[in-house]
Amino acid sequence: LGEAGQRNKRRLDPEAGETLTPQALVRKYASAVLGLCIAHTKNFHDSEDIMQEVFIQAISKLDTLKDAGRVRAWLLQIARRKCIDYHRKRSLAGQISEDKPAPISEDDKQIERLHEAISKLPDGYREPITLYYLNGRNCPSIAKALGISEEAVRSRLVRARLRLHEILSEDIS
Amino acid sequence: MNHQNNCTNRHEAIAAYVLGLLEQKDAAELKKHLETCRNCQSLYQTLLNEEQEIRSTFQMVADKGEAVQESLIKKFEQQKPLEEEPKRIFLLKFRTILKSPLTKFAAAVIFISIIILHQLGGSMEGVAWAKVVENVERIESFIFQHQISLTNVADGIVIQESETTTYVSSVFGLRQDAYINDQVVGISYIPPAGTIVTQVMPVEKKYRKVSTSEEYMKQIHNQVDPKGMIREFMSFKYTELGRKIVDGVEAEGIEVNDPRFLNSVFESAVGRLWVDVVTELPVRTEIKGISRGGSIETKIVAYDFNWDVQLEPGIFEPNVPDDYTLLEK
Repeated sequence: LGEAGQRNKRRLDPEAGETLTPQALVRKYASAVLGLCIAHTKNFHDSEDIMQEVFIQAISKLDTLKDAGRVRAWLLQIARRKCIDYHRKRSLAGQISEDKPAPISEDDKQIERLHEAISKLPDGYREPITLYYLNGRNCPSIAKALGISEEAVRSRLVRARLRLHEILSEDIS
Repeated sequence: MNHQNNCTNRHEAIAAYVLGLLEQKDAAELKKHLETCRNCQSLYQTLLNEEQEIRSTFQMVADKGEAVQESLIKKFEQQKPLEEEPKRIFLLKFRTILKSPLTKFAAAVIFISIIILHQLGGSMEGVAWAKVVENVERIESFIFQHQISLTNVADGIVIQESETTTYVSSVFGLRQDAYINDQVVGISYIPPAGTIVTQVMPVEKKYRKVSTSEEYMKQIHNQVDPKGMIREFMSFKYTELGRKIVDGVEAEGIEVNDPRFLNSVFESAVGRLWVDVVTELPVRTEIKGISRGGSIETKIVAYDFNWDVQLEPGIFEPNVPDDYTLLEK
């Protein structure tokens, strides 16, 4: 039984390009999706909400995904669309960033401060840097998710990090 | 931020170093430089301190995200009939390794698998088990995967191995697909009424219609009916296996060790049933049976259950392309 179980477990690994369950999908890719949502939203609570919406939509449309090897990129694409919708809705409602809930704890404040700094980064830098910190600091995985070379990821990360330093320094001063 | 101009080109190297992305050779060179350049050393220290803060902040984000993640998982597990959009079938790749001609075996697998449906219920008492009976009883349609292997006990060689996907609907019937190397090699359609089972073999472009007795068809359907499965399983004495993570979810298990298990098809049989403690529905079953005087060991694992999925009627209608030929038997 043990042997069959182990073999089975391997076959169930989404990263191995085989079967996927909603639970496995969430466990495996939640960090990456959250990272991307953080890159495109104005506050952390919105990122969490969008992350949930992404998985609800993805799981209801999982039958449209033919290539399990593209799960990560596919999820991030859904997340980008959700973030675009989020911005569209906000601008329609005339809300910019003033309506975000006031951070209560010191942790929340720290998260919001970093989030705000990341939101000031140029477009091409936000996704790699959030994926880097939230998804195991793994360049090959980011390259695959974003469809760019590892060298491009490395270069963007370095520049994003220096820019982030400047923003955080300005913030302090 | 007043670093010397002649060091500006080193800033990227310092950032890369802090991020852990600098090549070893370049890192050694930079370290030497940092020993002598106060401005670069200062930037390095600042970035390093920031880096710790950034990482700890992202760790907090990850922790919060994990809480959302867990609640999301629970939502998926609990939200069954009330989902806005019904869960769909999601079959990606299935790998099947079959070391002997498949078609004969595929037919055998189908009927073995039907028998296996027996043990989807549970022999139950205590906290969750009574609820499992109710939960399984209300299921109208579901899908699960199967892995079956036959091993020669004497030399440990796997004689036959197969993976299948089974679709069960109380309205439309039963369908079972056998896979080999991502390819469907055998599909069996068992209708909700009537006595004809259709088997399609896409690799050989052949099909056959197997006539069975009404009694046998009734037996198949009774076994597929969750109520029947549970009644069958409950007739055995079991031992509690406690809790463990099974296929990524916390599950509670029981074990039955009885040669009469699965209609006595084996000389001795051990069956394990694992139930998701949140949804209280089966998450995995494992069976090991010995037959032919102890010479053959059969292992059967049923997993990846998708309970209460919406199954289109078309899935259960035999699909035989025009160029397929009918086998006599």
